[in-house]
Amino acid sequence: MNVKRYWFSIALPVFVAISIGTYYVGAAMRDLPDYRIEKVTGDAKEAANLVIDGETKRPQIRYQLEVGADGSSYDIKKSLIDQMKEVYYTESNPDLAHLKKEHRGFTRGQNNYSGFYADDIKLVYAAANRGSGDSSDGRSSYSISIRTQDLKSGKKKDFQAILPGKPKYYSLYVYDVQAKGSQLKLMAQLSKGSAEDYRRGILKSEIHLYTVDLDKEGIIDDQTIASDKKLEGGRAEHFQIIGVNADFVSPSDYVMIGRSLVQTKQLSDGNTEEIPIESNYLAYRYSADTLIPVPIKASVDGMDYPMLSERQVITFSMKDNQLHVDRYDIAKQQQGSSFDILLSLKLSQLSSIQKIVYGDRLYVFNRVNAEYEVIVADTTRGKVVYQGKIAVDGNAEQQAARMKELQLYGFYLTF
Amino acid sequence: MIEVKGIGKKYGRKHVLREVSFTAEKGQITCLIGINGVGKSTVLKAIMGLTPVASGTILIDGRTVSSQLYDKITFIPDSITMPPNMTVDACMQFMKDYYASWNTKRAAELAGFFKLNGRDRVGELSKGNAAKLNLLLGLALDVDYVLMDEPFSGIDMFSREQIASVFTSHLIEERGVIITTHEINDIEHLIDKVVLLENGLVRREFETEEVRLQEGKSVMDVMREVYNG
Amino acid sequence: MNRYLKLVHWEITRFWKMLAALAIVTIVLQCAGILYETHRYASEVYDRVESDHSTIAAFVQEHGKHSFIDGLARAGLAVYAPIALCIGGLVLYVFLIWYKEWFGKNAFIYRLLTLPTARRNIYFAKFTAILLFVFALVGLQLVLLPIEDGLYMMAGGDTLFESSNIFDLIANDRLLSMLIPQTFTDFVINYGAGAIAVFIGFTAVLLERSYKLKGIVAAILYIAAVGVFMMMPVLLPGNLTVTYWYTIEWFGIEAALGLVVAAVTVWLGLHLITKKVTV
Repeated sequence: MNVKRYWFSIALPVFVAISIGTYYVGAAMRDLPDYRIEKVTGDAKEAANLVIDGETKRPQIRYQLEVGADGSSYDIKKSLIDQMKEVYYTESNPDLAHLKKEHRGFTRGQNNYSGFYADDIKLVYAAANRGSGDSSDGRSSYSISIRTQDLKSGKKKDFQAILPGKPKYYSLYVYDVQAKGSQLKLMAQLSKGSAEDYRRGILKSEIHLYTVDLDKEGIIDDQTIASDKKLEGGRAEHFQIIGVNADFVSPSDYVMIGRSLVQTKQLSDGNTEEIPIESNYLAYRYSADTLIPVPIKASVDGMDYPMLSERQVITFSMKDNQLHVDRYDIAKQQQGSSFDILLSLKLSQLSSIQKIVYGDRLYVFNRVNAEYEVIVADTTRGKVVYQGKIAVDGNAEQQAARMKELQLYGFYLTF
Repeated sequence: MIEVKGIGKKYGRKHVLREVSFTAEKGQITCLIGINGVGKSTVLKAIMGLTPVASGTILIDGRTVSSQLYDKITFIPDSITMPPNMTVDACMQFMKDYYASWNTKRAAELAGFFKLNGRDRVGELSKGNAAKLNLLLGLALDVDYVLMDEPFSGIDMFSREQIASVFTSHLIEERGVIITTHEINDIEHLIDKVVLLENGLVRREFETEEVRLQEGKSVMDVMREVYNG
Repeated sequence: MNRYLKLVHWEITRFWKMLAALAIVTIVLQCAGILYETHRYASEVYDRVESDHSTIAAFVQEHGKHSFIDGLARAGLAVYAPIALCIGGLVLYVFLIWYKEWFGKNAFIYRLLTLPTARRNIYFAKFTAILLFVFALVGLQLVLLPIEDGLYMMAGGDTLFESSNIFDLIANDRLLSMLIPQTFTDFVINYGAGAIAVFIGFTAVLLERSYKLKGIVAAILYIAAVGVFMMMPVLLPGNLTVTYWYTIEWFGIEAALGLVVAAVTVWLGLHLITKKVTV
């Protein structure tokens, strides 16, 4: 074969292979700073499932990344397929993430996450659907679509439950689902006002408990648990379901409800203004069908909510440079022991700390300037079981520069 | 032997070929005759697999045409089919690259005989020289069958003589040749077999020697009979 | 295999001049654009510093250095226009690579179709050639970027200007990151989809060359059918709405549909060139 003649036709693919090949080998092997969650004290296993996401503010570009105990994972190095694969795992609520991983088929296409329920026997999903009929005043009839799957037999049910009396509401949202035998209990928040009321700031909210009979495939009871009320002296009461149950997919006997007392004031333009006077928490107990008071300190500016995990309501407050964790045992209706978490970084305000409660663990993520700390505490024993910080590779100078570039935002648990 | 059996073809609504059947033997020169547009070129293209036929079959030595047969049969169209910026040498190199049946010696021989300059570009050749190159590219292949479409049309007289002399040489001897033409004056004495086409049908297929001996007619006589009668 | 490679070589020899022209235009326009940008930015800074009665050092202190990423973005048209030209030229050539064979009377197509090689080799050789030309220009851009970065620094100096990492540069630029996706898997996905489009283009040309006007109609209908076929997951009746599938499932479905389209299109194209094409 006369190679000289073909030199260009050989050189061309060689050029292609070298230029494009070199680029992609370089891209894959690129040495980007490897941040990781590093243990300071405690049991490293506690932080094994933690992932913190954020970005690096490199001089000329930002890269999204995730930091875990075993290193960093940069989006820029992931192919489209890799990025798509992870999407449905990265739920910031671990309960939901776990459900999505275990039961992909059941959770597909469902948007109302608070409508999920899972125990050993069955999976349930309930979501409110706005009807398509006449909604001239902003109110529509609603139905609730219910899906269940029996875990042992695999049998599925799918039906629309119509509200008894076919009332019309401005909005309806299912916040919690519990199941017992062949019945479902749905805790929903609805608004009775019209579009006009809404515009003037009058919501007319109510909290309803619907009982669904799975055999009859319909709603057999509609009970009003709480409803907004006008009191004397221009005051009004508002009720709101607080979706703070960390384990909202798992069975729970409680739903947290917030009550706020406000003073209404008429403004010159005809709208009303509401000045908050006081707020407190209640819990609805399914098994007893009662509303019980929860004597915990309510958040003033709504920035720091309590968290409900299993039978404990956990509240947070600042005490010097410590995160003070109060526990209230909602079953025994008594204050549990509290404990303090000493933070190594200065605590500026409560809202700058991120917290996840899952099962009996409390995960805390604190950020001050370019430093981060991660703490894991056992809430039943009131003890810190892990403390860690974010570290990066490189020499001292490189480390300082790289930590300055890092900006971490939120964290979640993987499974 | 090339067997054309009942082929038909339409261009739009027009039936160019209705039911054309004839055979061409190896070692013979068969001539397809007919007026312009009667479909002679179409028949050759169909034999070569350059255009599909709506009906009928074509067999070359008992096999249907496929790319494997292109080392056994070659087609010389009526004008040069090489890119205009290629040199004569490059054209020959091209044929050599792709055809196992390319005979380099014969190619050189023909190039000398036709007095073609290897470094001339195809686009610069005169019509006569282009036709000669075309012929060279076909005849330098050691194929069994050669199809030629209007090899003499528009060629100057001297080139025509040169080309006609090729027909009597060893270059054609044992091969089967089908040529098309609408005038047979120059080569009547060379043709072994004639196929007369009219209106998409074969009007008459005959061996020139036989007709001359048995009916005392020349090819022109038969043509007059068929087209006017 | 041998003849297929020779046909690829043949296609390359026929196009290399055009390829070289595209390459030269790209090199010249991009480099000129980058050099001009350093000049323009520097004079803007000098003007600004003069009118503010400030110093260059103070300016750099406040605004930082002008990175190659910044410079490339500002050079804008000088960088993107040649890329657009190359893309346009190659898209056109998807069709011309076939139609050129029919130019003139008794064109080269006679030669091509009567070569003693399976006709599918012609189809695949043209496809291979197109891919090679596309990748060659992509490779050229990849080689050019660090060179342009070097030119940028050489012309601008490091008082006002700073270099950029090529990976950062491409990630930051919308057009470049589409042509050069971030991982090799993405490259295969993007250009795989492009390859399917080339197959469709080829088969459309062959439909026209086999059936003329009816062929054009058939080609249009075929493309429409492909579009509907690829949209099938969305158009299916019943409860399956767009939100039903997880993203990766969507991708898997579309990839499978794409492969089916590719297979059918190639099969059709090969069938046409072997049995139906006419000169």
